[in-house]
Amino acid sequence: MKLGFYPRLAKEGIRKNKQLYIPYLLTCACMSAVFYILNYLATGDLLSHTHGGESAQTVLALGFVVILIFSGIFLIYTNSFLIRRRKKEFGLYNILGMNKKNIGRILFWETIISLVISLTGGILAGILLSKGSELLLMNMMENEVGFHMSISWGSVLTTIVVYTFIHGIIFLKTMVSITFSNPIELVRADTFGEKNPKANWLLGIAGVVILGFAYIIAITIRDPISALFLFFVAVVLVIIATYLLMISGSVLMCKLLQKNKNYYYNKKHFVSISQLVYRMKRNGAGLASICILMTMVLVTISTTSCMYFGSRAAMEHRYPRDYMVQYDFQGTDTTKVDELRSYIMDTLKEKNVEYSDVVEEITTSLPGARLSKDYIEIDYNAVNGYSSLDKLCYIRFVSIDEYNQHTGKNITLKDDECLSYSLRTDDLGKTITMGNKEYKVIEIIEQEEDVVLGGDAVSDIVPSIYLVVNQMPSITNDKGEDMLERCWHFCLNWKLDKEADALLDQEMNDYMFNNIVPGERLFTDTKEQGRSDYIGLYGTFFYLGSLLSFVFLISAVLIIYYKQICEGYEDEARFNIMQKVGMKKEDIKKSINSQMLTIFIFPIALAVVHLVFAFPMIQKILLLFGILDLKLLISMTAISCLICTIIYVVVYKITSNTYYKIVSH
Amino acid sequence: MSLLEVNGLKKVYKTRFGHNSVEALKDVNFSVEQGEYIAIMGESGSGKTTLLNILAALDKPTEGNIILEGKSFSQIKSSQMVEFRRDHLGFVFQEFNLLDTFSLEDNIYLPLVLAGESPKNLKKRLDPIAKRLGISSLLKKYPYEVSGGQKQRAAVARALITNPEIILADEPTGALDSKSSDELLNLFSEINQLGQTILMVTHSTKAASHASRVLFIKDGVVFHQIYKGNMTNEQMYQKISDTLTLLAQGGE
Ligand SMILES: Nc1ncnc2c1ncn2[C@@H]1O[C@H](COP(=O)(O)OP(=O)(O)OP(=O)(O)O)[C@@H](O)[C@H]1O
Ligand SMILES: [Mg+2]
Repeated sequence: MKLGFYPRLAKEGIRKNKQLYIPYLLTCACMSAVFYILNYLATGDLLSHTHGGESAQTVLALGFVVILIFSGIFLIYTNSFLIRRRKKEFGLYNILGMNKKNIGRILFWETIISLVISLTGGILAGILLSKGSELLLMNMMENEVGFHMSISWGSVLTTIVVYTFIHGIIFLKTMVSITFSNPIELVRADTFGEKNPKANWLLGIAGVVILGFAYIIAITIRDPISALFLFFVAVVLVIIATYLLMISGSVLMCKLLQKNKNYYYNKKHFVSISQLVYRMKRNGAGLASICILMTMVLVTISTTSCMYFGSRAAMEHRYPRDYMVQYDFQGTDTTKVDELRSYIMDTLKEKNVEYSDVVEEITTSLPGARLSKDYIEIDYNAVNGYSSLDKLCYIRFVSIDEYNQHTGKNITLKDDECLSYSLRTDDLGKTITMGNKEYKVIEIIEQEEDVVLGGDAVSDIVPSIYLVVNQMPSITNDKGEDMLERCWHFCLNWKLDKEADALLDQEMNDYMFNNIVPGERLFTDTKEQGRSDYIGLYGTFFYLGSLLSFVFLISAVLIIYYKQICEGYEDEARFNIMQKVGMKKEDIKKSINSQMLTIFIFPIALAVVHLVFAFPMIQKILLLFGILDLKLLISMTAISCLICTIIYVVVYKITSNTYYKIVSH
Repeated sequence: MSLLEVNGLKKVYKTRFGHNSVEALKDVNFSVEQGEYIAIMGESGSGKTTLLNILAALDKPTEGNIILEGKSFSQIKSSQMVEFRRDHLGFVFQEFNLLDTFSLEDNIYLPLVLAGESPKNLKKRLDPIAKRLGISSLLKKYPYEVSGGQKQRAAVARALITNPEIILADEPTGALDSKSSDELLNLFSEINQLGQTILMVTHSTKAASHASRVLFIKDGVVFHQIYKGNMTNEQMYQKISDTLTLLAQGGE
């Protein structure tokens, strides 16, 4: 095929710079593949037909918006690396008599070529992988799928439109930067060192202050839902602080090291420190970007993996039995409870359903505001005044008889004594006062299963304090109205498959719902139905988290790689001179290692510190999803840190080898 | 015994696929005594840079041998070549080859630091040299902040600081204006008078006229040489240009 003049020049340009273009095109392709897959799963009808698939699709849709924004920013950023190296060539064309319009045409064709290559590759990979990821996702959601292959033309089109748009922006941006520079600047663009930078204490201090502030926000947020906005503020502040710290911090550190004569004038450090100082600002920005990407990887993967591996426990927590009934009623009359119980038992017998582990309790609960450790305000209006969720709290009374029956213990209590268990809030002290009632807390219950019977107490974000008491109190407000809400919890295990389970639940519901009167509420739940919500949704989160982490990770790798390659080309001539005046190949290696130890450890180290400070926040978010297992979270976080550090070091080793090859040839 | 002996040096460049070969040096023989100031002249493409690169141990000869202070280059293991070069030879290049990442001071320290010199001795060794070269006040500046002549003086300081047996210079005045060239040549004469052996490749008759001996290379051999003896620079200049004219005519 004969190409026109400009397309040919464009093709040559890409071919000559393949060391830079190939990773760039690969990254573009990966991003569009991931975008396609997410879009396909989020809009395809496979998921919308599975139970729990709709919430999964919402999560996935969130994912492709993230990928969209991220790949836009990231590709624009990395493209500027490419263009910096190409500017020399454009400058030459310019001096040789090509005007900027001609250069624009070359650039236009380059954009077209990269777009075609990366989109073809990306969409093909996306289509091939989409079946695999469908299977994987379904597996994680514990669902079955068939093996037919399908292509979503809508998603292909969306992918094409989105990435064409992004490349269009990149093209325009490059055109603007070429138009506003003269040929001499272009020719020298990549050889222009920064002037020896001044160490900027002010920026450094600002960075430390902002970071400290962000960390304080992150660890003091008590309730992530009501403080969502604050949370985003903290994230933005951390990003800003990271850039400030990396830019000014690396300058400061290198300057200090340079002042230390014994350190600086050592052949291991001499060359590396001087080079770090030389391109400090750019270096700092690159390191900060790497740090932020690594933080994103760490937060995403440790949170979502914890959700996935904790999903079974969360489900068991929420559904302690296969079948659960919760009935809210008023007054103290329990004849309706007896009716419901015998209806359920009769139905089960009639249908020959095997059942076991029947547990029931009547909790009497009281919404209140926990104003201090041992004082609960029960005045409804006053409580409503404390709209902030972190004061709101349910007091749930359980009778000692039910408790003894349920646990097999034999405890007796006096009327002013209680046992207590705090769900999602601090333990009580020695006493607890609510309204006119005061109890002595004689024991803090250790096993959650002893009092908590799943249900809304577990899934609700409002914390609960369980009080096991001898006699149900009567608590009234000033007007003498009964403030207590009563609720019957009943649950049992049965061994039914998915369909039979749903059928039976439905049948019993039809009867029971007809029998309740206004003012009462009835809920039934089965574990089988909850499973797809929990396992399915959490599986989707993990799946999405892994995909996003993968994208963030390859982006970080690409930045590291570009840093090394670009610096390699810049340093090539310098190392050539140094070899002439007596630098040995081993010295080059040592110098590269010194550079690694001095500076490359920072991004990952700071990312881990960010993660540590985000930890309380992550823990609270996971709490909302019913993941209470702190050990699991700690081990998932530790494993993520370990794996990311290993990947980081390996990638750095490999790319610094490339650097070594370039500078030592 | 001479400081440096060059015996039967031959260099053949093979093209990549071995079809063609260029004989840059055919049979070069000469020796250099301690304290001499030698200029090497010849037409473009006559093999001067090739010769200098071989003397600098940056390149290996096809045949022949070089002996510095009784030690033959061919005996030195390639792993020790870098150290040998660093400890015994100093270089001044046409394009200065200063590193823009270093201040002038650090540029000059570079060979010492690479040789593992203790940091506290660095300043002691630099001070007298910097004073003699008149760059004491420029040491903290970066290469992009000083003139070409100043850069070349820093490069000379970098070559001198290791106390090399020989300074090798390839077209050291090539990138300088005439005033800076004169300053540099006077500097070379001065350090030569202090006992430093210098071997310089040059196109410039004026530069060569400062030398105590001029070698002419043509067709891969040392074709002719002139000793300065008691001649003044002007007389030497005249003699060199006459020889060059003669060589050019003789070559036709
Ligand atoms: N690396 C090489 N490979 C092949 N041939 C080479 C190489 N280097 C030099 N030559 C050839 O060897 C010959 C001598 O080159 P050299 O660079 O030594 O000349 P020169 O005297 O320094 O010239 P000038 O005065 O122009 O610098 C030339 O014909 C050149 O083409
Ligand atoms: Mg030459």
